[in-house]
Amino acid sequence: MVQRGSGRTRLLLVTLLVTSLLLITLDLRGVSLVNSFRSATQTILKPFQSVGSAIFSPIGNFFGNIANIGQANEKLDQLEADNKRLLEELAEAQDIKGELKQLKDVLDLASRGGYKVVAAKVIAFDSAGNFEETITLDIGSSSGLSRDMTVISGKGVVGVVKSVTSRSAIVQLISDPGFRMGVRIAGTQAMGILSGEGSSTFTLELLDARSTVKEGDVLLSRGSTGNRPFPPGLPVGVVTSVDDSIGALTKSATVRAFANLGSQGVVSVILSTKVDDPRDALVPKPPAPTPIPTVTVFVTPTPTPTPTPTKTKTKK
Amino acid sequence: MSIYRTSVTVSFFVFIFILQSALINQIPFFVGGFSLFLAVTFSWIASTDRAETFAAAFIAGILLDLSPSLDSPVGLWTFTLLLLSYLISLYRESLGDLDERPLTAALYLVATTSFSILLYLLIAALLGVDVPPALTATIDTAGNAIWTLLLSPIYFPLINRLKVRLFAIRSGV
Repeated sequence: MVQRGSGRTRLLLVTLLVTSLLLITLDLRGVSLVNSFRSATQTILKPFQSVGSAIFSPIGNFFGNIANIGQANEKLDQLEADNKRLLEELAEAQDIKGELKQLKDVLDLASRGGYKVVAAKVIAFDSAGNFEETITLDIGSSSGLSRDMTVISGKGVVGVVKSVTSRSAIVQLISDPGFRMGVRIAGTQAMGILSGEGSSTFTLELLDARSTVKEGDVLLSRGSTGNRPFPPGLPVGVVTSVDDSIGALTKSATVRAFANLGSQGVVSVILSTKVDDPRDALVPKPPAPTPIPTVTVFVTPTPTPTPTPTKTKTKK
Repeated sequence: MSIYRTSVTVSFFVFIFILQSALINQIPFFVGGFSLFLAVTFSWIASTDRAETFAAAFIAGILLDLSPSLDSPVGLWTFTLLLLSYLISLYRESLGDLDERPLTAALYLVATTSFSILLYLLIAALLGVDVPPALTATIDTAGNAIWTLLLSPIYFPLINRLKVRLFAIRSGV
């Protein structure tokens, strides 16, 4: 049964409805007084909201995390994938940077020696399987490579082309135990034979027992007939120790190669050379000494009282 | 409605309004949101006489209209709640004693809060105010209905006991 209100209650309802309609009308007509009430409410509520935020943020975040756990997992997966991709790109960029430096060095050496070269990427190392120290290049006869061509890095001789296919080539490294090459000492021009030992060091045997060799001497390639396999004047290595044993028939020394044979990413193969022997022009420059910082101390002398000259009366 | 009862009602609704703005609004509910203020308003007016129902609806409406986040004209919530309070006052007898019928109380609260939101949106649209898309409005209304239903066993008895106690103080004095 519908309860009917008294006239007074009905009047109250009508009054309140009219009031609300009046407020709506005022607001729609842009009366600023109404809007200022909302600003005042915001001012009053702000401290309460700050306190509420401080209390409820951890709880709210917790519920929010539960609600968004699916999205969070998706985001995590995406971030992990991005991270993996970026790490791969970074490794690739570092690899390219290293190869670029090696290429720059080898082209610099080739231009100084006047060699016509072709750059090649090392695609394989073979040093343990068959007791031979070799590398495989990604270019072959189609790029002009043939047997007995010299392979260099930015620092010096790396090896000699041993066999060639149309798109690849195998290079015998100078560290190979079966490798022999004629060298001369820069400066004294003493000649000798350099032998690979399967490691990072080599043995030098001088041809003339009267020749002198000392630690730090730089070895250059002596050159072959028709500049193959070795053009003259290419840097090979540096003497690290001399064997002075009495009674030896020849003088021998231990040599370290300039080229870092184990970490070559990019090398160059010399296709042709100039007729001229560059002599010692390709000897690597010694590394510039690291400047030692000097400390300059400024000493300011303490001003001392200087005796003021006093005028003495002279008797005339 | 006496001055005491009016002041108690105003104070209570202001407290709930601050609670809603400072705390409830900061909880990210899974679906939609929860208007404790609306639920408490309809809980409050469920067991009052007609004059008090209109007065409570007016006070609650004015407070809702003062919400800083609203873009609708001031007075719209007041008008909406007054219309609904009139409807409730007409059919209150048929609801019976809601304290003893919790399921009916929960359904009453879900129906009134949902209908008030939809009525508010309808009037706002008629007045040319920007209203959310239908899907958003439906999800929000449904979310509010779910939370109102789930939490009604907690707040509905609390509101009724609090109301009895607040007005009993005056009677005792």
